Amino acid sequence: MDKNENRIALKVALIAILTALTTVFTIVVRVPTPIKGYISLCDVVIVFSAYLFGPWTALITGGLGTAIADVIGGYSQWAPFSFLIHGLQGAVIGLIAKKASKSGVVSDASLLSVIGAGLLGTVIMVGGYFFVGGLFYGFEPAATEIPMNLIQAIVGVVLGIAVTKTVRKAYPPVRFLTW
Amino acid sequence: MLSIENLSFSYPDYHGDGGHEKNLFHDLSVQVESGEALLFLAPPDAGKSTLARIISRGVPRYTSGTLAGHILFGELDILSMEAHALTPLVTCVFQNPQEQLLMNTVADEIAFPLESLGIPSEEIERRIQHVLTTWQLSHVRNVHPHELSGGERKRVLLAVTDAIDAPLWVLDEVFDDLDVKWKRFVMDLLQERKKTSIVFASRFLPEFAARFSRIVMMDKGIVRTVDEAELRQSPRYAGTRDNPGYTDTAGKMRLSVSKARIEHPRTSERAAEPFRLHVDELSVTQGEVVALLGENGAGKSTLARMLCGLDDPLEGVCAIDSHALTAKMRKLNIAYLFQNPDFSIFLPTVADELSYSVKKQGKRKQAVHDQVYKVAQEFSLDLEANPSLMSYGAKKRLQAAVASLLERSFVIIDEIDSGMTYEMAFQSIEVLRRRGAGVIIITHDESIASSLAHRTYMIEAGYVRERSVS
Amino acid sequence: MISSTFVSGKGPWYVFDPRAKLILIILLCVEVFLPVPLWGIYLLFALAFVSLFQAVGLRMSFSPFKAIGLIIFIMVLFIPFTHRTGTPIIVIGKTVLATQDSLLQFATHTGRFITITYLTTLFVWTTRMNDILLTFRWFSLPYSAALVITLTFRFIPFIAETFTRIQEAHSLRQSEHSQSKGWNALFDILPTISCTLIFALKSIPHLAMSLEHRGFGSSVKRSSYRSLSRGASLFTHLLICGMIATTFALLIIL
Repeated sequence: MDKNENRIALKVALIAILTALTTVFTIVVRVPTPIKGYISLCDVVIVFSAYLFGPWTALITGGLGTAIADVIGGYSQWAPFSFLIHGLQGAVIGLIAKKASKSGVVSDASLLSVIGAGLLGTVIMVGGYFFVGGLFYGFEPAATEIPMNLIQAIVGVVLGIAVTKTVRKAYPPVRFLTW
Repeated sequence: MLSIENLSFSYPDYHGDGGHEKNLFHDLSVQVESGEALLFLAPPDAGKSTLARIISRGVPRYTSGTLAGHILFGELDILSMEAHALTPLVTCVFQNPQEQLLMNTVADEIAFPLESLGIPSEEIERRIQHVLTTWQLSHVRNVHPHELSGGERKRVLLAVTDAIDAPLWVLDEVFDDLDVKWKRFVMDLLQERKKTSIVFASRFLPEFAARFSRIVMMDKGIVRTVDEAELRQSPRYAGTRDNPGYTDTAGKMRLSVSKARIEHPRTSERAAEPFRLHVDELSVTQGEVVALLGENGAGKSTLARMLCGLDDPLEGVCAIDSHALTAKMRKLNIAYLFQNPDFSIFLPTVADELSYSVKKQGKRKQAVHDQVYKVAQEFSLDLEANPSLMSYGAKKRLQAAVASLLERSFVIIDEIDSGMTYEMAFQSIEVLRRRGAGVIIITHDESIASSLAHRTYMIEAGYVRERSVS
Repeated sequence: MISSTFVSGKGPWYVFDPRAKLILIILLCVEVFLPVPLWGIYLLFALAFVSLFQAVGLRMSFSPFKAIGLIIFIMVLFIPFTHRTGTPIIVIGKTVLATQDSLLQFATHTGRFITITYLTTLFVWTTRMNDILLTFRWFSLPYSAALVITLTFRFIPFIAETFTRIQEAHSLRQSEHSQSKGWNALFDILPTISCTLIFALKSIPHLAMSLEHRGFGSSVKRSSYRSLSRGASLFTHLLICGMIATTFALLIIL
């Protein structure tokens, strides 16, 4: 496989598929929670993209995927903010992963860096939505969303890391898709 | 005009240390004359699709592998050209339309390659109108590919090919989803326009043999010209084996459906009415092989989904012997092997995949191991292999192996002939039968049904009826 | 299924040049967040609602409320805790449930929120996907980025259906006692997720091949089959958009 060639088609294909995955996991894949309602699993794909494909890919696919999900789901007013928040979340996790291990994959990173990346990503996501929600409809009502967002982000990190490990083992050619 | 010379291709084997390469074909040579329609027969997994992708320069660019040899198209050395430079010269229709449809409407799909070629928009519009009429797709002009039926998707890709109008057409298993009318249409078109074309197929279609200028067959990496008479004899390409023997019904369980009405909510927004299917009487006994025969879209999968407990019938009874079954009980008694084996591959190795369900039954470690080992041998599977990288046929065997480990009394195999040779299909069915399962095979191929099954049910115009033995 | 965000209907919003429409929507969204008097916000909301009603009909024009109903309900619950000062309006026994200030704040927040909801919905529903992308292209979004969005919409229904099938295939290989509970139930979804991810990842090289096979990446200058109308109509529409935005801004100031 030629690594140095201009592989714009691969970049476009990779970003499009990961973005579509993020959108589907935001809208369609929902896990019932014991407390009430559902949480979405978009963070799983964001963490997965960040660890396997790095900060730039996660920035675009995480941001674009959740923004498109907002537009489709009738929450288009949130789209620009989801783009920033989830994009930043993916970029930060990807950046820490890249710095912490040479190859940028979970299995090589230290446990501390994985936890650190997960925590920082969670803070960005939960904090971001709290801040924007506060501007939209006041900080007190926005605060009620913190617990669910927190669960969603943590579940996303835990499942995201587990799934990254499985996929790397089950589908070794994934390493050829990076750029 | 197209000349494939001494082509060899090997791809990496990730199994074990990952250092080996597996040979797909070696020293392969074929010539296609200008204006000739060549039928290229090869068993599934022999590398037909890979060859099509090598000709279009997709492999080994985006999948790894080692390629040697030459492909010349007239004076051009294809293997030294970039994929996008080939757009005006070669158009492929790949086997799975989902991998090739790129746009959100049929019109945009046709326009996309023409835009790449820099063709002005008025000319693009003219060609779109023309091919939409030719391929009878005008009514789906602004429809998303997801809303199209399998046959319509194939026609869209053929319409794109027609709009580009390149001198060389490579059609990989193009007859798969097309009904007889359109199969004939494609053949007429290739002949009329004198297109240079290679049609890859894994099964021989006797009714079209005379329409090709030449038939070649690839077997174990060697390509040779064959004649029709020889193919009619070959069991691999024409199902001529006798029915599997079956007599004993004593003490066996019998699955039956009676007076059932099944409704399948159409996934397509284009259909106003939900799809309805009526089953007056249908039965399978353990050890028996029964075929469900019908055209694409006749409702074969709708019936299968009800049988295995994914959907409930609106009315009617599904029972084993005289015990009516709930959806949950049907799930535990009847296995359903999806047409696409990729839908049921979840874990990193074959061993993991096979032991998953057995472990869930709460068996001891050694017992699990023994059982898994035995079943892997029966279905000739490598326990250490990565399921997601196995050949299509091996994945289908893995599906069957999982069903067999689950000890389901009945097994439904959807589109058994897709990606499996007659022999492979026969073997899988035999192992399942030996283990005491009743097998329902779903197919749209008359000859598969008559040669593999003891009895056949026809699905036509919303009704399921048993075909009387002739 | 989820392959499009466009809702068919008729009226001026469907003819409005998407470039002018996008600018107008953004300007109006910003204006509601300026220190606007309450009646100004609701005037704009009325404008957005009437536009949507006119474009897609009565039943559809209420549906954006479904998406924001819950949060508005939560905002109502929080009225008593926001402002303790100001003239009490609703009092039960000795407890002040709402003061003038808190009601004013509630009305402002709700007004802004539903207004931007309706404005953005109006744009998304009345503009075809192709036109949205051409609009972005006009605002100098690179072709490959627009292509990414097109491909995303192409693959969303495909991946969603794949996930459903995989879930079904997974449910079919359960045995009698395989219901997990608690934390383990969460991990039961892992095989389904990883199967979907692998399925999607495998389609990446094929998608890249198909793109190049259709000539993407070539140095030939692409032509464009679809285009937004140019010239006089864009100018007129931009003018109308500017007028609406300015009129509204002036209304607030005066």
